[in-house]
Amino acid sequence: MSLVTVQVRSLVGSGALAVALAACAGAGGDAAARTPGISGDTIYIGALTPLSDAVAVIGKPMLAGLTAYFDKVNAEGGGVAGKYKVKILAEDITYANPSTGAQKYQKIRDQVALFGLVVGTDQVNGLLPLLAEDTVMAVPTTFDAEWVRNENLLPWGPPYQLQAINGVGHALTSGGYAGKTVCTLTLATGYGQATVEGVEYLAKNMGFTVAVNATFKQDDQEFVAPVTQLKNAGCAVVMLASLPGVTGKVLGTAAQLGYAPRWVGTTPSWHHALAASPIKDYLVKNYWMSGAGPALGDTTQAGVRTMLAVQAKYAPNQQPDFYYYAGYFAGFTVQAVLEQAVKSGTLTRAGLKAASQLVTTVPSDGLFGEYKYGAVSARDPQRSATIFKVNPAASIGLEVVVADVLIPAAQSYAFSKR
Amino acid sequence: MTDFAQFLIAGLSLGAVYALICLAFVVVYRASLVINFSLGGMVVLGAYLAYQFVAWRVPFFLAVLLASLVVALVGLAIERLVLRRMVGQPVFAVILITLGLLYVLEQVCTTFWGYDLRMLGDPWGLRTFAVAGVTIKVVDLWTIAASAVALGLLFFVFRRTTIGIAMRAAASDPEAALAHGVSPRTIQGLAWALAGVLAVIAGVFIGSGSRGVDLSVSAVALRAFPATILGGLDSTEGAVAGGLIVGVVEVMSAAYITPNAPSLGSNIHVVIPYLLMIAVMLVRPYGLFGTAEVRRA
Repeated sequence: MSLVTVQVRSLVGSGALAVALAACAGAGGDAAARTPGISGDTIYIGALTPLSDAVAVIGKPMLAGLTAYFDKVNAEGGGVAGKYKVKILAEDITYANPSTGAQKYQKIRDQVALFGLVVGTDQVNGLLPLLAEDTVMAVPTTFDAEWVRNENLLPWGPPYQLQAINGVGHALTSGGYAGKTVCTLTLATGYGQATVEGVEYLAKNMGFTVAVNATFKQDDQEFVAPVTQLKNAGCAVVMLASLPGVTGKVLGTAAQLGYAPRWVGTTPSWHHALAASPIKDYLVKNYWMSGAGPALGDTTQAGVRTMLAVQAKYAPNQQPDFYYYAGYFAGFTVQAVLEQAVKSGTLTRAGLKAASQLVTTVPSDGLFGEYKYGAVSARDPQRSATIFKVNPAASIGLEVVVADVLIPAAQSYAFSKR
Repeated sequence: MTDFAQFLIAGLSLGAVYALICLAFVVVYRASLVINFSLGGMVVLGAYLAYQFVAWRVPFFLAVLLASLVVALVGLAIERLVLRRMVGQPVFAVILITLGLLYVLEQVCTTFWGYDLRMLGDPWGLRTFAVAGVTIKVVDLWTIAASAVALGLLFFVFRRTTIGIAMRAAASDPEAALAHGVSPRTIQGLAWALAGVLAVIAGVFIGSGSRGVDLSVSAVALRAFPATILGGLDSTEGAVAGGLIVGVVEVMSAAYITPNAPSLGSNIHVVIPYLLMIAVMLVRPYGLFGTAEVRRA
């Protein structure tokens, strides 16, 4: 018999109210019972992710990954710390409208212990004052370096700044582009800005100037202008911070204009459909992705085998793409904090915040490098990157070019609040 | 100069798509005085349907034709089943209903096709050719040509056919048209069906090549909206002029203003069409080609 206790629910109606009332009722009178989002042996965690706009192509698999992760924990490990079943309360946000994150946060903040998934750099930025005021922890599934030093966030994964530094740095030092002109083409959002920061830092560190920082908007349909700008500036290496639905438009325009620099994309820029698109040959020749961990299809890795087995069992309808992988991985971090709080005997919001700084490392089954946690001031994310190239025959269309790329600028990059 | 020509062609191609969408706004508005905010949903539904027919191995152009037929029927159904019940209700309420229908249509699409990017499988792909150093995308030529043909046909229908004259009569004076046997309901149904066909053509070109089809295709209708107002909400000529003007202005802004005036922000190419719209409306509140409303004192 399969015991599946994770439920993704829309918080409309009595279900949410019941959670809140149960928390307020204080069954047993202990601290846990008085903590929002904790009811008896059940912990409710929030997820704020796009589920109905174009960015749902990222948001839905991320939620599926997190959900599958806790399905497994609940069914096979008896829950967090062998006791607490985890339920996920998901709310739909609009990626292009950061205020929706804050609205949905306020809608469910009294019904969850913490937020295990928040998608969108601008969305996270909008939540920061609310998280601080309410003493609520959140796990962003977005990789701005600014998160590292924020005491209400528990980031994971390689920050965009480091993805950019290692990706462009690898092209310049080992990829055959030494001395070539470097540019960026990024979404005009906080995510794009974070990527530009990485390239600018690398430029300062290596003594070059970024020739062009071009931008675009998520719903732009025509890219001749920014691509021509890059082409005319002689950009030979271009750092791209895009979203799956836009990457094909940008690179298709470049291919049509006969412009073939070394494109280096961040992790959210990729979508497996591109490997079967009309530009697949262009991508094979010109596109790298700067990410982390092994290739998703590399089943020689135990962590990959486990992840795929969990997907097959608990999320059989979800393609195990990069975004599923990200949501699944966020589960490791959420579980580590919850278990630390249980261990400390302080399953409260303040206790969760304290626990987040007592966690030192998070086991990741080898899916990512080590992220050193502990005190906020001492946090240190994985600084190395894996460079992927496009292979239409590979899982999600990507294979590893080189792993553990660590450019000196990535090693020296200092994390601070803006 | 080469770059300018490159941008001009890109702008005209984008403008041709906008013109199709503007025209879809205009035909519905003229028939029913409703601004059809569900148009984005019809655009994305048309693109997905074309993708689906191609995936079923229907030849591409036949797939587009079938998608047009289906979305025309959807438009007709919306008019018959929803909007007809709103006759006599405030226009504002009807407009809000069309906004609701936008979300309904988008969710229908995601229910059937999910959120993954789908490649349309069009015959143009990435093909280009060069003229005097200017790279011309084959898909851009097709976009401009197909839009021109669609617009030409529409003008012909409006001016030379009985049904077109009836549509114009119903838009101009519904009561007089009714007295002459023209049914406003029939005309409104036809207008919604026609808007569906125009939306499909626009959606196919937006999703062609390496662009792919996903929910973001829907957003093009909102981007075309200032062009509709700029040209005049009740003017077919205005729809074409507005679409082309806004398409070219958007691309030229992205090419010449965004890189040279970073202090204006990175999305200035999106803002400028709206500024242009506001500037025109201050001088001509009914748009470049719209009909001035006559009020009796």
